[in-house]
Amino acid sequence: MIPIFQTILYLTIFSLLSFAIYSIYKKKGLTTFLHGLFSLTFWGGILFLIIAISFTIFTDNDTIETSEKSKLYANTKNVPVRVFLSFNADTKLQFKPNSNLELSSNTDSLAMNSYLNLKTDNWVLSSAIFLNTYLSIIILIFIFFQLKSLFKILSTNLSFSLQLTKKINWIASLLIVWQLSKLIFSIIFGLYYGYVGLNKMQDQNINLSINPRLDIDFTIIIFALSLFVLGKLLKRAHEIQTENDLTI
Amino acid sequence: MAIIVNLDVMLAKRKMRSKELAAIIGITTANLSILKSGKAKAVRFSTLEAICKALDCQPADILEFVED
Repeated sequence: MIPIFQTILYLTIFSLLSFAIYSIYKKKGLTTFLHGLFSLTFWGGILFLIIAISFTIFTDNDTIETSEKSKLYANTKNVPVRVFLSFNADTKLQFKPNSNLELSSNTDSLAMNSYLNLKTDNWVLSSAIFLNTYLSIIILIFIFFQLKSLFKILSTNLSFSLQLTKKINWIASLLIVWQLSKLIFSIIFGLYYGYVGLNKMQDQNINLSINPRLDIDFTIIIFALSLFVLGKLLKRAHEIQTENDLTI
Repeated sequence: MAIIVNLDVMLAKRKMRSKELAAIIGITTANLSILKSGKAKAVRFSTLEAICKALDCQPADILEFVED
């Protein structure tokens, strides 16, 4: 059977990439392409927000039973956790390679960042989970809106203007607020639960522990700080451009 | 601005219109009106030379320094 969803996904990604590469070589092509892309993400984000909110309002437990075996989750009310799997020393990972390749690993533990769907009666924690989820989505929608309008300005007139500086400063501050709010909320979550484990593992060779983690991405903060500098640079460029325009 | 552009006076003396001057020195009328209204931040020597040539005058006839 052909995996139809995968094929559609790959085709979409491939066509988007080829369109982007094609638009690089066209005059004003790339800005128009990015404007289209970000308006698509902006409206998609709004749609996602509406669906998530309607899941919360109209369903119990945020799930819809599509059939007896499968459920559709609203993948929103999530709490950042770090999942830690460790194996006994004599347990080895078994590989099933597609070819005649010999594969082995000395790894005795696996750590991964994940999110846990958490339900609680505590109103502070539940409102923190609610805020953490929807604040992130709303901030991201705002960022996509700013990006959309920024590339619209650039696609109509590719020059320095104070509007660009304003938009870039907005994007940078929204990114920092987003990351800081995620950090603050993950600290709050960490105060409420320490360690999550399972009472009994089916396979005694594996230990599983889930711990709260600080959900912060320093790359985004550094990127946002660089954006502030870029905004200042664009402001200076705008000043130089007006000076040049007023030199007769 | 402490520097005043007296282009209007010179144009009146030579009985020339701004449009004609703009055409002679090869700049747009919009730029010439920026120069006349004093919004201009700087004047290129080439522009000044062309104006002096067209109006048959010295730079001092066009530019004047006034204490603020």
